[in-house]
Amino acid sequence: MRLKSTIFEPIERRLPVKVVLPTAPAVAPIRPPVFKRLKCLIIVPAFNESRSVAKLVRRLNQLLPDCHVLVIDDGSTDDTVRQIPSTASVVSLPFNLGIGGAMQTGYRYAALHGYDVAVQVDGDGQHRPREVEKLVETLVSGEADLVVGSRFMVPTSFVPSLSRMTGIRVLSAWIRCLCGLKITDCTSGFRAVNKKVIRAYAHWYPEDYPEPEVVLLLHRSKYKVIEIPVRMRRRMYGRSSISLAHGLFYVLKVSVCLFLDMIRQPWPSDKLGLP
Amino acid sequence: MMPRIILLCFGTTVLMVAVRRMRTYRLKERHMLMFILTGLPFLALSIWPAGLWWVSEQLHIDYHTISMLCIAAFLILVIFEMLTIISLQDRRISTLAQIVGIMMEKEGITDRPRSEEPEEEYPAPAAAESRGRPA
Repeated sequence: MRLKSTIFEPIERRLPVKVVLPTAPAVAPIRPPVFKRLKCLIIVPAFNESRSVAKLVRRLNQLLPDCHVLVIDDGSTDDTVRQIPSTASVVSLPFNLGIGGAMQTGYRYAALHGYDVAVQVDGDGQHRPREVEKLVETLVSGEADLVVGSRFMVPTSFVPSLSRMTGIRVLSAWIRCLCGLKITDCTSGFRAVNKKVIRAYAHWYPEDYPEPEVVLLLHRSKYKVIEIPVRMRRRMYGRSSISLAHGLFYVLKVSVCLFLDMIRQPWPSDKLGLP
Repeated sequence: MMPRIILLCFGTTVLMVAVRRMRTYRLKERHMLMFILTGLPFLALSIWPAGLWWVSEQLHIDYHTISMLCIAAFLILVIFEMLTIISLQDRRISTLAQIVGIMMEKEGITDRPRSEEPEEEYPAPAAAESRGRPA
């Protein structure tokens, strides 16, 4: 019994002498002038990400002190909300809306509070906070209205599974075929948008398969979309929502939706102005 | 004569129920159109029972096939209308949930403990509060 209680004690108490346990290395914050001029919002959609979201938010706060972090808790059933540090704002949705609904909440928030730039960083920890600066700098240079961080533009250590890679390639080829836009990583959720696109997204945002769909729709609506290479890592904890079995069905469904998007006009220029 | 009376009664009943529901505000005008679309063909057939035969002869399609096509078209229309209503309501519920979430954040009504901070892994930056934070 005594042994059992000892096992559950913190390791520092069980050690005979005081030792310093290894801690995370100190990281210098990124404070380029671009973040001083702009109101930048980092939107972190999270659904049952209690194990990774706190670490991610602290990392974002430390590296990007001039940006405001907003976590969208998409109706999590675990204690995700309680894990979020108080340095970040939290919008807790009453029930699960899916990634599209969660992200639109973030864009509505950004439009409501007059942010100039919104960056999506997934709550699973795949996206590196250090790469946010690259996205934002490309965006404010005026080259694009939407900047997508791509894993496949340059070879990196991140190698997705064969099925996932095939699915992404099929969808990218389909987008190129439909609208002529060359994109290598259409499913990447690591992206930054400017004020015009924030306004458009607040007006309408796809609910089911938002990442590939908005790329096509924005390009069709004459917004400028570009990709830049970024490094990503594997998710910290948990599993992806798209399993191997669902992969093929996912590609099929998204392909049909992309085809239907060719006849949709979700952002009317008379309401939102020309891009 | 009997089939005509049955058709007349059925068509009139459907229309009366629809109008009554609309008057008591339990059915919206646009949804009442569905009941009008249901009731009117029955009334038309009670007045002109040979109508389907005439259509069948004009289109050179068998009478039974025409009847089945009419029923199928009606069912498709009803399902289409229902799914449109569901999609619209779904969008509205999502928008409402988003606004509720944003309002709760503004009012500070969340499940998050404000005083008890989880154990710090990295030191919090001092300047984090200064910029970009909404009032």
